[in-house]
Amino acid sequence: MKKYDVIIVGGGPAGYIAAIKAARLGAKSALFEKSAVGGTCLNRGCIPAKTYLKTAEIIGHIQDAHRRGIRIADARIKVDMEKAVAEKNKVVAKLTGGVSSLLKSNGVDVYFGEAKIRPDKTVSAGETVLAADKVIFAGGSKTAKLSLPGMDSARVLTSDDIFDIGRVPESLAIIGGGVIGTEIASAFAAFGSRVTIIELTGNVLPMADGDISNMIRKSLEKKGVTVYTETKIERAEDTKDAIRVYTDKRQPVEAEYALMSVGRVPDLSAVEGLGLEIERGAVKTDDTMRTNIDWIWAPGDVNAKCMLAHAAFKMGETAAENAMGRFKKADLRYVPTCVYTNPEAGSAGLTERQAGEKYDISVGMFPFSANGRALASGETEGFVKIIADKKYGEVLGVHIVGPGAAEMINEAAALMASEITVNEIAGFVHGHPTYSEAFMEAAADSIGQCLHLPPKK
Amino acid sequence: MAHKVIMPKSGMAMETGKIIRWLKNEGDRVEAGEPLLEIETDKVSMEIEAVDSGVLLKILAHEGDDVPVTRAIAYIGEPGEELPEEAVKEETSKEIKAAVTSATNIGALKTSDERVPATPAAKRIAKEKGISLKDITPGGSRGQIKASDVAAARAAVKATPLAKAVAESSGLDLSAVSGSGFAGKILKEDVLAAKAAGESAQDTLIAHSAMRKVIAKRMFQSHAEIPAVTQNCVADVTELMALRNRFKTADTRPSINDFIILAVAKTLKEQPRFNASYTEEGMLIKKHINIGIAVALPEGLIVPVINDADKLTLRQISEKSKELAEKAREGRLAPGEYSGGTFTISNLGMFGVTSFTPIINQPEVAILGVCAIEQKLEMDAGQIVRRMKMGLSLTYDHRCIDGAQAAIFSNRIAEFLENPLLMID
Repeated sequence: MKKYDVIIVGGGPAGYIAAIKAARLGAKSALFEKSAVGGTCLNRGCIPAKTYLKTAEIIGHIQDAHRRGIRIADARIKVDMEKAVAEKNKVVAKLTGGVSSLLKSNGVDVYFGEAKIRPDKTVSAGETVLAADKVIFAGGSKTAKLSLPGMDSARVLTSDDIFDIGRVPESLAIIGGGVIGTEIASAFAAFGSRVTIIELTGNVLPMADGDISNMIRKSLEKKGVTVYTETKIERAEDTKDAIRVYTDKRQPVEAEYALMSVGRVPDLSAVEGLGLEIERGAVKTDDTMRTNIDWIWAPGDVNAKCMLAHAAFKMGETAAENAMGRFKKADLRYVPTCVYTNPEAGSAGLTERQAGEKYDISVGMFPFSANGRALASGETEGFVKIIADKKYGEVLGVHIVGPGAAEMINEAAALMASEITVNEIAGFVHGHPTYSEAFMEAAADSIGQCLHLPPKK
Repeated sequence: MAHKVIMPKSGMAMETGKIIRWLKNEGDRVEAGEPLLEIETDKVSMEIEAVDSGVLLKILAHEGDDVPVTRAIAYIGEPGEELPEEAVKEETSKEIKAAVTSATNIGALKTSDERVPATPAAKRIAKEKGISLKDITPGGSRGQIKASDVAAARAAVKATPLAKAVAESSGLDLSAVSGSGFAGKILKEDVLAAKAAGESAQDTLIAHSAMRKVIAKRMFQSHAEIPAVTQNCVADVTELMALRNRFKTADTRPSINDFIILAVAKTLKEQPRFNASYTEEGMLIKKHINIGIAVALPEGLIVPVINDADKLTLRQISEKSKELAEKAREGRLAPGEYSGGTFTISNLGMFGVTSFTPIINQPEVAILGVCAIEQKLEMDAGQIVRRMKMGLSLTYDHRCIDGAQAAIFSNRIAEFLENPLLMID
């Protein structure tokens, strides 16, 4: 039987990075993947979504073009979904190809098939059985589903399905207004679908800071998306031509398709019967990604600490280092969260409510309507909000909606991790005119020193 | 308010300094750390930096003047500021007073740092910020350390701005904190950990309760005044325990301690010199036999008293002692119930104590410590038998009681306990 120092199960962001890191640290390593390397992010998540959202953004620009004096003779916009899917597939293929060649160039052996980790420290997939000294279990996650009557209809899609849909649906009922729900709503509303979001809690993006949720909801509604909040789904009915979604308080929502986007759950199929400690459906790990079994580490979505690709990169790297005998912790306090709606949103750290529960806080706000570049670009929707601790000026949370928010949040996260306080940020010279100036201005506002806003009383 | 510039004390031996020249004129603006004047002592000449920023308002001592250390030589402040009256007076006064030492912290430099050439301002800042001068690269023209060098050294402590802010607000010296960040950079968590470690390493002061103060005073007084001797003996209580077990119900069953009170009361009646107080003139033999029983409380102890114990039956003693102990634990004792004792019994037997040296409860002359009951094997007519033995530790005042008398006293108590029938009148 072939023996490896480290075997990685799962080729997503946590898994492939763990494999590369382990190899770099001198391990003979192998990686098992059941479909395509790159995981949910590359194949069925972030990257496909961003491809379509760019398309939506371009549509937005075309629609706004007349304001800038651009005359388009025939402004009727129609999205050829087959072409859009082909374009997306090209992007995905390019990236997964890149991952494959990275694995190859680092000497990682890749095996395809559904892997099972066995108690005798072997990993098998079909006929292949390999022995491992250490195992990194990075099985990822799968779409969570509501088990309600009618939800098994072919008209109820998951995010996996909708990225390969052949044409723009006439109407779409989105079940769950989280990140995936709002992003797909944003894209398909621009493509011309009549979109309804049905959300159980009080607002879209329920985990985000309240100001972000309000702003994104307002912007979606402005683009014609119907948003139902505090609405519980009861059942669905396939009427042959459409899907009818029944809720507890409104008329049923009828649409050509429904999208199930109520979150993701860890995929634990590779570790069934292994005795791995599971807590609320996820593998229990500490900050070092260690599990209760001393030869298994579990980074990424399987531990549900932070179901984001970039958090998975960090966790995968940490797991590989620890499997190779080092002692590293994955610090996920400042992991940014991005939502690629239009305008987009970026967050890092605590929400205003979370921060207010633990600290005496001061909130700085700067609207993009007062930012030169945003005005010039006609993208004035949104704001930068900084939540600082009054005592030390520690940046506790940054929440941005607006142009470049997902890029800008990285500056915030980097400064937070470096423990730079609002007092310093307010003094950093930012290029002008840039969207990022708003970040510096918000920091200044949090200490009452923003010179581009009226003085605080 | 205008700030004084004083003749600095640089080195323990320095008493006066001579002003060589002023580098600034009256009315010039000076920044803290900027060279202000040059002085000369009998050993060395040096540059003096301004400690405060402002305008040089008034020069009091001029070139060539020999000025005692710590005396005002100039004032720095804001233009138009009124100078204190003494400044004007000082100028006119020709008399130079004797040097005042230790008037300012400039005089109190660490000897280890004294050999490092540094300007007084640099020394002061370094001392305040807890930075050793030896760790600072000098930037002065003659190789001396200047205030700006200290500031640079201070900034060189690698810590995040947040960590610095937290350290500053909690008065923690960052040079004592080890950093866990990249290349040893100090993070907020490191400061918080150092702070927590510092706090947990500190000893805790628990203020004395009123009771503790009384105990401390009385115990110390007794221990200091009385030449006390403790003698230990053993009583065989096998039969006493058998007798006690014959009482049918737990309610009426007297405790071993009740028997001891009874035995002590009877012995005191026979040997009244143990039921007494020592005075300079003589022994004051007490008429009543009032036996105090030490009761432990969470915060200390108290000694309720069974009055006229010699006149009580075993049952009465038992009831009274139960009642008093209960009241003591609940803090309900009336003043008369814990005063007027003539002899004290302290029982630590329940804790397994086998011998101790109780301290006499003044103005009494002796105290009986009761120890644990232990099983012992003995030979009895060729047979091995199990006997129950209890230790008695008697402390007495050797000023009025001698060893033999004490032995007779404790032996008699033991005798009563060994033969409980003797206690029946």
